[in-house]
Amino acid sequence: MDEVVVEVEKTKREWEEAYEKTIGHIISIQQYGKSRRGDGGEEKFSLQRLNGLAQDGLSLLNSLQFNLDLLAPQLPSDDQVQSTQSLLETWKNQYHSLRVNLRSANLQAKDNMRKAAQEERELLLGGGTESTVLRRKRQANAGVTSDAESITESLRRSRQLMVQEVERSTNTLVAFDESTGVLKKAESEYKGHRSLLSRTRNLLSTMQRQDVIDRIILIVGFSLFVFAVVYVVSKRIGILKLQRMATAAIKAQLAGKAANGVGDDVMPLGQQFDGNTVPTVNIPLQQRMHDEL
Amino acid sequence: MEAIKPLPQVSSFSASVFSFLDGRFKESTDLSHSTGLVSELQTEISELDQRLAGLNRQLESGLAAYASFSDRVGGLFFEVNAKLADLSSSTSVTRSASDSGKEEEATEHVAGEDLPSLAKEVAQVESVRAYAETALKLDTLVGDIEDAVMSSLNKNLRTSRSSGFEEVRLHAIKTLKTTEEILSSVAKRHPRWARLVSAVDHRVDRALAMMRPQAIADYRALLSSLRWPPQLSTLTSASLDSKSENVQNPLFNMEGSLKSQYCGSFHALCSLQGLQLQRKSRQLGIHKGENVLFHQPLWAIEELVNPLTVASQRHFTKWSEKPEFIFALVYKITRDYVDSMDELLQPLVDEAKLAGYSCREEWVSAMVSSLSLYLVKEIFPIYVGQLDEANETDLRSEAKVSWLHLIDLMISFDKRVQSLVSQSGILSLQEDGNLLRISSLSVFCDRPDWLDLWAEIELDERLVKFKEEIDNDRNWTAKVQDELISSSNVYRPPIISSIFLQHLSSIIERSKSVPALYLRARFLRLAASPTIHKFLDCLLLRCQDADGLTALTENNDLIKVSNSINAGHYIESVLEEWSEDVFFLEMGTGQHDPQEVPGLENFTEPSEGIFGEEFEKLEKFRLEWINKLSVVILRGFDARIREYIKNRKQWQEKKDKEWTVSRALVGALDYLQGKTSIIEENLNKADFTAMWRTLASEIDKLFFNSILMANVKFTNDGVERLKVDMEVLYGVFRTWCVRPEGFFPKLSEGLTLLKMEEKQVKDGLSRGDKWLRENRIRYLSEAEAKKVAKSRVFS
Repeated sequence: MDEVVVEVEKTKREWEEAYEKTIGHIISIQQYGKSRRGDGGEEKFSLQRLNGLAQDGLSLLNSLQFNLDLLAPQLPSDDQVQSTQSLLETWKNQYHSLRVNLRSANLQAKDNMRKAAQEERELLLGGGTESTVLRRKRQANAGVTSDAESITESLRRSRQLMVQEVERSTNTLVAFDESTGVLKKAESEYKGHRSLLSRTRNLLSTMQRQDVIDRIILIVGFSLFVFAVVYVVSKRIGILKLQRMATAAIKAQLAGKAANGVGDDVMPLGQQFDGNTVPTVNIPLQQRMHDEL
Repeated sequence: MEAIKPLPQVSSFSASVFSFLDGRFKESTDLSHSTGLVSELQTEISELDQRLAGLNRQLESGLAAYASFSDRVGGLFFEVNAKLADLSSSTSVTRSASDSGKEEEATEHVAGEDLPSLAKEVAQVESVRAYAETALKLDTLVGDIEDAVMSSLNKNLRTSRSSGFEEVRLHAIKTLKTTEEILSSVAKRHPRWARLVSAVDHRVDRALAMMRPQAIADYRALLSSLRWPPQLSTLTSASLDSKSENVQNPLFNMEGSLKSQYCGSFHALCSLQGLQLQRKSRQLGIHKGENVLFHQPLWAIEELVNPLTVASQRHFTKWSEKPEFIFALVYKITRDYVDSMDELLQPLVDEAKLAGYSCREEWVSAMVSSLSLYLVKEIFPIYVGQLDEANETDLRSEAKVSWLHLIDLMISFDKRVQSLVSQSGILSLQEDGNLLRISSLSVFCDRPDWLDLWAEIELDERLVKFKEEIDNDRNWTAKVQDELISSSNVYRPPIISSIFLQHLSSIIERSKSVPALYLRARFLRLAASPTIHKFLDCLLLRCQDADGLTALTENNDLIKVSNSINAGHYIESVLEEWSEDVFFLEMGTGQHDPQEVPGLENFTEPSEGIFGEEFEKLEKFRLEWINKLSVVILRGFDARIREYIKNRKQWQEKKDKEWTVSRALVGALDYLQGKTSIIEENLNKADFTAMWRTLASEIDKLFFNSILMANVKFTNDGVERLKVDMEVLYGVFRTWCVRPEGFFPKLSEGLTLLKMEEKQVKDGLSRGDKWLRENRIRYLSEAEAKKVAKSRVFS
């Protein structure tokens, strides 16, 4: 079946549904205010809402009319084109009459509300004690109604706050989703870099091991060097000390003998001892240095 | 010693006697009480004997009464019998008379003629008697009224105050009510007694003329004794926002005799006013329709407000340069005492049977009326004088700002006052009559020239603000991003449209405060309609600027024109939707007379509403410039397609290996697609569809007239080439529809003719128009079809 024909049939069905709905809304507007006292309850919809629904219906009908006007020349056969165009004329007339009926219905609704208000006013201000009693009841009901309205208003404000909170939570959730995406991207990048990091880790391990070995070699070398130096130094210092100890011992024996003999000769012996030791020390150093050279 | 009586037989006793004796003598010791028992029984016997005697006397008296009644009934029956005998005797006399000869006929004739005239005379006598009785009764009542009035005057002159004083007045009012009832019944039943009614009315009117000022004077004196009005200096010295509990209300502080006196006086005034209204409605019985417009303020409330007005005037004079203080004071006084009206005075009004009056509304309307009167006399002349004297731009601007400030104060004051009125729970009628009484903007009803001045100032202020926003180019390029409004998605208007709608809605919101319907219509015609005209002029100026410089060949100019068309269409749709609203429907009926009852004239077009002229101009603007866009694209396309059209030999060339579309056609189609794409991005869907359909129609005509009607020769290969080229052309439009051939009817049918066989074409054309219809050729005439067929060359 041709898709244009299918589209035209769909448009026709939508028109019939929208037409019936709009007629229903217009009838509701026309009846608004009449059954106010009889039902004793609130209207199902407010007049503004009914008008909004009727306007939406008219907009939809206008849109469907536009669609049919666009589709009509595209139909495959001439008979279909002609019949669809005549249907379009019918739709235009129906749309026009709907608009006229909507205006009449609105004026009728306003008249209904005015009559209801007039009747109520005559009842409440009719004079006599029954009017007083009725008005007091009405004022009590008005108080209850105003309380209910204030409660409704507070509930509406709570609902508004909840809606705002939901929107804020939605934004937070969107931010979380974005973070999740970013994290997933990072994860994939990190996984891509995994092999590279592994090889880097191996190289770093090898370098570290090499570094440790180099340190050990240096420490051992340095130790041997220091040991050699200490050995050489210790050798030289030990010989000198031995010589100094031997000389001192000899001098001490000599001094002991002299002290036992004459007490007055102690001072000159001491002087002699000091003069003897200085040349002795100088001479061995020069000899040792020549030996090494 | 007397002989002992023998005991009676035991078998002769009844069962009740046995049970009685058994109850009394249970044991042997009870025998000693037998003497008391005997005395008790004797006492009871004597009581019963007395009761029996009384009943006998009652029976005797009843019988005597019945006997006398029966005698009277017998007497009545005797009378009835006597009358029946008389009746039968008269009947027999008549019959005996008719049985006689000529003499009987004469007697019957006399009886037949005399009875109706006799009955008529009896009726006249009865009517005269009724008239005399009614006249005497009314004279008595009116005499009572006049005596009461005179006695009141005498007491008033003596300046002596007594409790009987109010009673006399209440008695007079009751007598007046009785008189009114009698007069009402007389006026209904006996229309011919007009002289009597008018005479009584004359005397009663004179009595009322004396009674009303006296009652009002007494009421005023009583108010003075109650210390009304309260001290305004305490109100003004304290903070204006202080709570109402701090205010000393004299009406609530009344106690004892003062309260009863006040209630009585208030009741008397209300009763008098009720009588007055009742009499007026009776006198205007035929013209009841006019009575609806006549609504008198409540006298008692008026007398409460007048002293307050006098006291407030001194403060108002001090605050002539600061009107907000005036409104604040009036609102505070109104609010502080409005509850006492409901709780204290409304039951008195109900008691007086005064229908249709709400004390709250009366109080508020009286306060607002006094304020309006002061505004008319003192405040508005000052402001109008300032506007007239201010010739310099700066001074005039300052005067305008002051004027708008005053209007703002009045509008906010009216809103607060109306909320006060609606607190009572009684549905206030949203009609001009009620709104006029409780609105300070009702000053414009008597002075429409001030309304015109306000509209002019409002218009100037709006245009100054709007012009700054018009000059900002960013407002024209950015789109409205509000996704909640579905209509803005359809029309894609620039931001300037929303800015304009805000200004227009603001003007309309201010007009809603105006109480009278015809004044609202006048204000909108003077302030809102020129605003729409100004916006339309701006749109037109932008389009003409783009057209004048480059003839719309630049893409930026196409975008500019598209945005202007979007803005215009958006405003047009909003105006169309507004024309469905009751607020605008009422004003759209075109009534200009405030006294005229609004009829339910049912206009059928948005152009007949209050913004009808502007709606038509916007529509005309839109259609005109959509057509201009089509013409511009067509002109460019035509310039580029010229080479392709001139090449007449291509339709006779042989087919090469592969068909390729000629370079000229490709260039033209590329131009076409580019331009339409730019417009599609910027123009709204509905207008764009209208544009490309117009364009398709024009291209169809162009190709048909330039190629098929140009005496070129088509071979078989030429027809194939044309078909391929047209398919490419259709492809440009396939973006927006499924079968674009439907929008190129002449080209399609021309191709159909060219593709037909030679014999088929020749045979068909010889048969004429019928054959064309049978072969689905509807848009080509017979001459055109023949011309196309002649272009075909069959090899």
